[in-house]
Amino acid sequence: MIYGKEVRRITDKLGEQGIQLSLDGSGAFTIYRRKGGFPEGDVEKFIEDSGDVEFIVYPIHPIQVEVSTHLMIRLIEPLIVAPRSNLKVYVRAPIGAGIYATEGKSHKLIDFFGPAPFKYALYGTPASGTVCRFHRTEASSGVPQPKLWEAVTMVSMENTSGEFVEVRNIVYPLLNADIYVDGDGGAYVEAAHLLIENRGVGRVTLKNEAPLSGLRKCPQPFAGTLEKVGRFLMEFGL
Amino acid sequence: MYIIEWLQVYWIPILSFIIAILVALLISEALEKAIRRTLIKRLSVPAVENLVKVTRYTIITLAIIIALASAGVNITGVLVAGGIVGIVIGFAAQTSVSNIISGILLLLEKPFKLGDFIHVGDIIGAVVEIGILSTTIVTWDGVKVRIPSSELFNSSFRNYSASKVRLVSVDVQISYSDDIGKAVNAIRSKLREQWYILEEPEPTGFAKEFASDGVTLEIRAWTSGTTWFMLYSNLSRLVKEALDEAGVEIPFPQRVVRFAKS
Repeated sequence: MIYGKEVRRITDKLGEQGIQLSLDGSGAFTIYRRKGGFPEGDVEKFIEDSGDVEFIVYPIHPIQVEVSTHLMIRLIEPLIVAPRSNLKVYVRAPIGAGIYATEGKSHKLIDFFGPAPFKYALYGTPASGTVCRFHRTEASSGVPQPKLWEAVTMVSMENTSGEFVEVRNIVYPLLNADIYVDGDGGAYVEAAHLLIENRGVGRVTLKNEAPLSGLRKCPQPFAGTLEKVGRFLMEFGL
Repeated sequence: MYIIEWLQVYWIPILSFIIAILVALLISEALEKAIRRTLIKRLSVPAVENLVKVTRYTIITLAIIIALASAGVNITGVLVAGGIVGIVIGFAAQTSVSNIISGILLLLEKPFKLGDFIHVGDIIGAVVEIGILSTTIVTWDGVKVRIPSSELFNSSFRNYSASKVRLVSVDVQISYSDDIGKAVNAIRSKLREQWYILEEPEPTGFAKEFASDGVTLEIRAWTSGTTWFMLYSNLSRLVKEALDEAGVEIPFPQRVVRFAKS
């Protein structure tokens, strides 16, 4: 896995995915280049570097903020949650690679990408729904291994209604949701709580905690500029 | 000499007039800051700025009246004259008054905000200024257009930016000999590859009409409000590419001509 590591150490791994990264020195600058991946187009940036700048790849939410700040996780096999019960499941969330120039405690996102176009879907109605980054995944009771382009997150479900409820979708308020890495470079997304009120309505709340212990928190590109929302009312069905 | 004598007699009223105006300006500035600080998170920027303007002019007008009164000027006559002038101006400036009222109502209703793309009459553009009297938009080709508030308030207009998602459709013909299902599937697959086309509601296509030259298909795809133009400007190209790749023909106009047997 690649996350939390220096860019030079992961170029081969990304090359296998058809994404070429390079860092070349040129006087007072380091030139960062990318070919392949999404968003499309070759990227070339000059970064002032006196020799102390490190280039680290951290996981990043693969969204275009101007399009959406939410993630809709579609469970391939829907979960049936029993009346007045609690359930803890692990799901995978899409993740992208963010290239940061770091010096001391200062981080600057210089590029981000994923392997394929980011796909979006509408949750709700055209009149009042929410455009969300769309991802199909399976739910499991055990902790799955993170993949290169898929992080792991945990959702605790609480069914407060007196009926069985089928859950197919979970909408995450993704903006500034915390991201973590493990020692092997795998990515994880902040845990969430889904409070099921009835068959059609649920409330998602980010828990401000890692899905597992022993993970390291990653920098966030929009921290300090855009406010973390942390809550979403799923009123158009679960 | 005459001016100096006049100043010697009236310097106190003149001084009190100037002081009253200066105090009014200070109060106005403090109030403007307070209004901006308190309301900027609750109201839109244009609404706050217009409120600030109204406050400023009201305070200055009141200050002038008070200053004149304190300077010993008989303001009853001024007010009566002002009233009569006001009525005359009111009749003469009905349109302006209508614009002001419409502008205030638009600011309260907030049907658009700065940066929104709106369509009024035959004008489409981005809103760059919302005033009480008028709204200014910049069209696609960079022309600044001023639209009076009453015109905006009394006419229907479209706000393209208010929509979270937009549907774009295009018609295309395929020949009668081609398979409709194959053509629709090829187009849908092509459209689903594009990041700016929503996965749900998914792109669709259906046979709409038996036209003279072929079967007309209607292709529909949804996109987010911010990527509407991307879809609008690419949809026809994507449909053409999909049909070309699938070997489906877009027919030219054709006529079957039968010759009578001689």
